[in-house]
Amino acid sequence: MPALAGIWCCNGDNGLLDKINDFDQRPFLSNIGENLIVSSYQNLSIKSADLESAVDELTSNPTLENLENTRSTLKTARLAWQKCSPYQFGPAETAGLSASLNIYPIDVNQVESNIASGSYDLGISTNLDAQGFQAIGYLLYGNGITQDSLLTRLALVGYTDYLSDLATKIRQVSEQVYSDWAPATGNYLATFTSEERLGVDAGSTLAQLINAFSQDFERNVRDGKIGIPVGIRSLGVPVPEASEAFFSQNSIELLEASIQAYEDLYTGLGSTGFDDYLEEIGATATGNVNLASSISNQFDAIEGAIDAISGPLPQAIESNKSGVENVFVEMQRLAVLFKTNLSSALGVAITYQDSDGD
Amino acid sequence: MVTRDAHIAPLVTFRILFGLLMFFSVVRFAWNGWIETQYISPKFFFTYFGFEWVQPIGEMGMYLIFIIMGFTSLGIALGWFYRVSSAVFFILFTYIELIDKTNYLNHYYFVSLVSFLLIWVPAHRWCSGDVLRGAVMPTNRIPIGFINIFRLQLVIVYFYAGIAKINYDWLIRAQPLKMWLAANVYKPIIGPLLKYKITAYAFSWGGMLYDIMVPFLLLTKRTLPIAYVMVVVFHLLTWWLFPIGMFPFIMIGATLIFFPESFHIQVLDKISRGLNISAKASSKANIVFFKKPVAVLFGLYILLQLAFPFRYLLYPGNLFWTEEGYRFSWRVMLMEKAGHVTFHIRDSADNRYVQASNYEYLTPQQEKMMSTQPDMILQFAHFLKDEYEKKGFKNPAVTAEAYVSLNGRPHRLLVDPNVDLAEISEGWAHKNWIASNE
Repeated sequence: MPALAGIWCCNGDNGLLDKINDFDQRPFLSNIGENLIVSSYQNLSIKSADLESAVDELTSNPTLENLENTRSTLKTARLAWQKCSPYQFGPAETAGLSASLNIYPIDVNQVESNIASGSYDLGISTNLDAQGFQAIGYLLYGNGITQDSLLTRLALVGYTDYLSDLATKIRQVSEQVYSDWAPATGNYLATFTSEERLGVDAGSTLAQLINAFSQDFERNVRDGKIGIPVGIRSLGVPVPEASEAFFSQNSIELLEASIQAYEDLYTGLGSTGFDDYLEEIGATATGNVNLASSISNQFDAIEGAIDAISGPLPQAIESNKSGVENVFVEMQRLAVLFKTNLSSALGVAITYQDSDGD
Repeated sequence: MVTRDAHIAPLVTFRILFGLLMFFSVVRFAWNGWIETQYISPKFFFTYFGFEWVQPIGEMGMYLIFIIMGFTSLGIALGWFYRVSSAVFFILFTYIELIDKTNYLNHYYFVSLVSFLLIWVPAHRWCSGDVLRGAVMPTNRIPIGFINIFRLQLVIVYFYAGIAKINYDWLIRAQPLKMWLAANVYKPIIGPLLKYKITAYAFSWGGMLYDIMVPFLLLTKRTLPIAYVMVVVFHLLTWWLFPIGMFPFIMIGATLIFFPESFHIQVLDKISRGLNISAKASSKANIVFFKKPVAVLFGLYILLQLAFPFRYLLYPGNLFWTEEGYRFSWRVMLMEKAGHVTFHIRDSADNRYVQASNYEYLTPQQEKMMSTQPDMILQFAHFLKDEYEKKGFKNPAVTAEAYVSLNGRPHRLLVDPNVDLAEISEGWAHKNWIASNE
């Protein structure tokens, strides 16, 4: 057999008895499950509770200081959400977490009419774009009104009730998802890391994870945060008001946090991550370069492109449209690496629905 | 081969098994919710060239079609209103498959072909509802050609699948099996074996030899039992390792037709006695004939089956890359493609530029299939042209930036990113805008 192996093995392959795949998914999945997913949901649930108490404080005592404090807890909760966004499957999907927290742009008229009528149900679909962080942002920053009139408005019962309801819902849904994941309660973590869901077929944890994060990256990060506001994914005309955090004007900071969340997932936050997986199976990218390092380089390229733009996103689109478009292009490259090279190297089919193959 | 007198039993068991398997497939399809995901929720359908008029007929209509397919598959199994059942089943099944080529599977094509052939054979002349209800004169002697047409069809499926495996990636790189098997290392018992390179090579070469040899082993009386054991083991193994649905069971059932008539007579006899139905029939040989039109039809059918898979030779380029002449040729599980395609749309008048969000129009399955197949990329480009004209773009140019990874190779551009696909029409001619894969 060694002679035969000699004939067959080319490109520096060693021998037929070599292993193709000797990567153990177990430590990889428990690292991602425990240190990335569960801890991110725990953090989100804490930060959303902070937001809720700050809102309570503000509504009972609408001072400038309380307003500033609430704004800062809103920002922290939003940053915590960025770390959870790649993991919208299982409990998060069931609870509709993403739709409850981070729909944008919001429908300002719907918000105002809910406040005016005082009777509304945040659970119905017409109110999907009248809630979440962006709606809170609208109430805390206003839309071109002075600080004084903002504080006056926040003393009105209609506004305070609505603000409290929004914050409470965010806290409730976030807590629900965390409790569904946490080992002491719902323990979805055990399902995530279970033996029967090892492997790469349609029902495996890895397939679920890759499909969820590629979908989130394409739709919510690449298109939602940049593509639509800059016009590449709308009708060729910029839509700055479709930016994330349009009222609080910190969209770029949130984008950076989101890219960091993806990089953390990729590197496994210092422990076993996708980079180790790819190294172990010797995956290559175009030009025979190592796939793991071309993905790392692509993260650097995105971060570089983000560094080259400044100011709130709507201004950046106004003053440096090509710079913003460049961020989109670099994210697009990462999406391609995810959907073609990463998934095929790991043997995971990118589909979000099951079906037969042949 | 064709007119020699033979017992009808192999054809009857074939009819029963095929009908039951189809009934089960229809129920499984509906149960999995695929009627909804594949024929109701999509907003756009990738029709076949020349069959653009085949469109789904709404929610009620699609469910009704599946219900009728369920009944007619039972009609085939029971031989009850057999000719009508098999004709209706063939038409409806083929209609469903023509709606969207992203659903194309070789085994669906096989089902269409077999149900077409069933229309023309007298499989209902014995042990059937039609005999019981007195609609046809029972007989158990038929020309052997009515049985051999199915044997020949199976020989073609296996043999062509075998020769398709004789290619560099499959035999020398052991791809895509190396990737697919490595994906199964966590399976119990043989899982740990799958991580070795040698296993991928053994499966690749074994699979090729199996496909090429098994039809001849099935045709030879002495080797038939061992060949059938191979059929069962091979298909169960593929069923266990890969998501290939009903195909293994259809093949395990269908290949029983190679067994001698004595075997089938025994089986049917036991079933008839179990059900307490008399299976007596005239043994006269002259009740059923090969009518000339049917003989001509089968002759043409066979020629087409033999020739059509070789049409790829008329196209330049790598077949796996261009997929020109890939479908309807028994190329089963030959490659793994992953891709990502971005459509760029430019307004000729006012310099507006956008990228389409494919996911707004396509299901994930459609998006996945389209991203690696040039003909579908072209179809979708035309759809986008119309779509953006409706949104006010003047004569938009649509280009595609499609990155595809074939059998684990690094990705590269599938089509020329500078060609305005809106200006190109679909046809049988070679698509010279497909980028080279070298």
